[in-house]
Amino acid sequence: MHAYAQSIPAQHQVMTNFFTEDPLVGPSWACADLLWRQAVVGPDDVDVAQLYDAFSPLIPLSLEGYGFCGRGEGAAFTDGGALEWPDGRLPTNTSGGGMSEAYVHGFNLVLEGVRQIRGTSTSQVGDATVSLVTSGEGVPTSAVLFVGEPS
Amino acid sequence: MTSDSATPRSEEMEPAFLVPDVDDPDTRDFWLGCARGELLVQSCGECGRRRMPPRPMCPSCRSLETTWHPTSGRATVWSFVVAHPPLLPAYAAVAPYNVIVVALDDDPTIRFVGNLVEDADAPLDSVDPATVEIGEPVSVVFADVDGVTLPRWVRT
Ligand SMILES: [Zn+2]
Repeated sequence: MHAYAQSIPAQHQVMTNFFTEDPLVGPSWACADLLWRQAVVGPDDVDVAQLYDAFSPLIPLSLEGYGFCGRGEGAAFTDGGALEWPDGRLPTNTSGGGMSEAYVHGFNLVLEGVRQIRGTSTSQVGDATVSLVTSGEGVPTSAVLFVGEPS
Repeated sequence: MTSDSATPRSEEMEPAFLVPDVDDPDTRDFWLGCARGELLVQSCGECGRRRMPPRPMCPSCRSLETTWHPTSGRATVWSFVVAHPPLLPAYAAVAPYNVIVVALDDDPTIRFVGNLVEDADAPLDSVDPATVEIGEPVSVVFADVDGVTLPRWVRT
């Protein structure tokens, strides 16, 4: 485990974030700030991601929040198979995630994030050495970064 | 829940809209304003910063001093959704209907959640949800709903 963070931004209201100065900037942004400050790697170094997907829009919002693209660019980032295994720019939810594997509050995402670093995933991403796992955008949230040795 | 009598069976439930507690200490002044036909916004009594929804402490300076100020009641649609069943019975009866978030012209960082309706007392589905547009100008109106005066929005 290379780095982890948890965050709830000032004045955030769980799942009804219409009232902050910019409602399209949620807890993931604050969590990402803490996470990347602890890490020797950055978003461009992430080989594989497990993004909490209890609702589909959490994926593009998380992509924005963790710095894979800018505010409002999350949907466009997913174009062209960017999140697909094995050759996308950022293979995401490689075990199926909350929607297609199991909804167990993200525990399965952590398992898959570890498997990717150990090289034991059934959807293994090449020589993945940097693996990001996030909790949900839109609520008090957290994230963990696993970093392995290059094989 | 320990007894069956505490949980009314669904067919025994009265179909009614959900109305807020208008006697909550943090929000009472807002609802009193609605009853007078005024859309009030809470401000910090020390630094003047507006805040919505109402709450006891200023997020800027942590003052517990609170004042209330009337607004123009003019706003623009910031976003919206269209509600479809499954919904509570009173709402299912008028679905699909819109739910809008508006940003106040006086201060666009102050937003309210409500419904765009044809006029104050029109039903929730009185505006075709397919016609709602982000950015369109609206004005507040007030309607009595089950004994509580609620703000709603009409096109200007
Ligand atoms: Zn203040």
